[in-house]
Amino acid sequence: MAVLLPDGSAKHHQSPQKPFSPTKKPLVSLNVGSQAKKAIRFFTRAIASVLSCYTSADQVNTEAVEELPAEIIYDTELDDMPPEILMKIIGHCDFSAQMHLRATSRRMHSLVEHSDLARRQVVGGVEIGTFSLASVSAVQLPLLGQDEEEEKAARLRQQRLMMPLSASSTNRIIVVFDLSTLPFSLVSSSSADSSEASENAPKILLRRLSKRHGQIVLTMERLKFMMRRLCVCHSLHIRGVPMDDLLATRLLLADYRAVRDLVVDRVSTVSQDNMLKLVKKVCPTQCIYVFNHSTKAATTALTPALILETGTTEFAIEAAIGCRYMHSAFDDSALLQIVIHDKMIRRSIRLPLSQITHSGIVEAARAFQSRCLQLLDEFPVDSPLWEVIVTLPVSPLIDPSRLSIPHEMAPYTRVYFSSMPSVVLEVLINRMNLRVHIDYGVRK
Amino acid sequence: FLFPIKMTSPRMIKLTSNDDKTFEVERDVIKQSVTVNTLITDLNMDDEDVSVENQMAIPLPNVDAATLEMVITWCKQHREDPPRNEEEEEKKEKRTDDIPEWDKTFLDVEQSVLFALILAANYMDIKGLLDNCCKTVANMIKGKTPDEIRKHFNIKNDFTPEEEEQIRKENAWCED
Repeated sequence: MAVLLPDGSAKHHQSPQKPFSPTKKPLVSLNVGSQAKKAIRFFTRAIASVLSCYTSADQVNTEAVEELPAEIIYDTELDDMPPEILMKIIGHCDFSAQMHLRATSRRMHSLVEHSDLARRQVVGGVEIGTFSLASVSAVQLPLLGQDEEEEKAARLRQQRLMMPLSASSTNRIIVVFDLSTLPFSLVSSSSADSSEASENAPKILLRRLSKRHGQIVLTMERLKFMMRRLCVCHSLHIRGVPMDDLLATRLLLADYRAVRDLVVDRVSTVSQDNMLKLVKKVCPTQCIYVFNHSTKAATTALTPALILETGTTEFAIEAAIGCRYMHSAFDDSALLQIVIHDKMIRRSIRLPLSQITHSGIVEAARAFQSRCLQLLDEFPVDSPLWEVIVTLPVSPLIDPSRLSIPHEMAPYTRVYFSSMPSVVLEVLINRMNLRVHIDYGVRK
Repeated sequence: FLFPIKMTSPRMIKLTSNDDKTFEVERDVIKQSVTVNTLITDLNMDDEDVSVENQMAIPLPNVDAATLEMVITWCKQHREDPPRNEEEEEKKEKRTDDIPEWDKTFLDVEQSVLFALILAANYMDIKGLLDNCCKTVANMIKGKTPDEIRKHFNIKNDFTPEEEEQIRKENAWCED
């Protein structure tokens, strides 16, 4: 006899005394001749066929059901369903229904959070920083949906992989980061500081444009969950949390796209490769602001490729006040590449203290002019719109008095003082315009 | 003249529910259950020489008689359905408004009966029935607030007030 096990597999039980085989024909065991056997088999089949015409499965089923007790008590509820069934049901729900379902119980919350939900197009902002819970109307919910055992296991797993997030000496928080499962939680260096550490821990601020929705603060461990929800987020701001390889990796693994603004207020030990990958992944359309950095590593991580491989109209790199590190990747050849990088119609770029020289500026202007004249030949009637503004801080390598314009550039190029105060070298050909500002106003 | 009758007679399979009720169902009907189908094939039960009387019954210890009867009824209704291509089904947009009318009426039963059907369909691996049952439950969830869902499905709210408030805020943020 075959027994169907709960996992769906079959187990074949056979009696040791009477081994049963479905293929064995009982009638063959009769002690008769072969011709007689055939005849018996033939008539048996024939009779069975005739009888089967008069005995339908419906009749058998009906009889069977009639014998059942009059009232069958079922007590199966939604909560009794195994996780795979619930996940299937959740999968058929729309986004709103899923969000409502997760608010019903801890189990549903956990299931919905772990499911691969459809993403929602949310126009809002995501900010990663250290926020005071008092400043926003939100309550921390660190590990909802996990039972105590899971929490313990996660904590043990995390303790094996303790790594500091911040390079800041003032930050006493130790960040625990498990790359295998990507939880991201914070523990303080001492139990006495736990409430303070929790208060100062990096958090995610989710901001909607609508006043009705306001903003909420979440802990870092919810980054992956919330980022997965976002199809389009308005901006990604990383404030007060130094950008290092760990944070960059986490952002690279999060699932989101089409961010308008990317603001990184302090680049720390992130590698050049990861920084470039991050900028490419975020792919902001409007602006990239990288500022407030003050380390040599940060200057190495920021390269012209960030500008050349993205399509933002605004790009700014500004080091911390007092930082005199030279961004060596930005030199005369890089400036030339940037100004003739004609993929963008209009672009404004602010560069940090770099190795760009006054002669490099003139060469860049010459290259831009040359490219404009080519375009003018190609489109004599309606020249393309093209505007590039590059702003440079005052530098020992740039002497504004030596920005001499060659004779052949004179019709289109000029140098003048603006009220910023800055010296401006401008190339203007029809609707094509390059302005290089050497800004005296920013640096002290 | 008996041969043509024999050729047209359907092959029957016996199924036994967990309350020892036996059902005879056509082989072509029950083939929609991947579990039963695999069992029949693996145990070589397709031998035409074995009569129904001598055939062993396939026990279904996780399915009661009333649910099994409903499953058989559903399978009979869908016996002509084309075989499902799971890869295609995965790629298709998840919809819940495409439940056939017959199924809608058939699945318009008590919640507990529906959940028993889901468990049976899952156990017997009948994809079409399981899908339609899950869609029916999803339709019950749609358009309801968390409180209404709790009430409708008798779900116990085990959140702390703080947690509930946090989730409420998150949900408000995600809503349009």
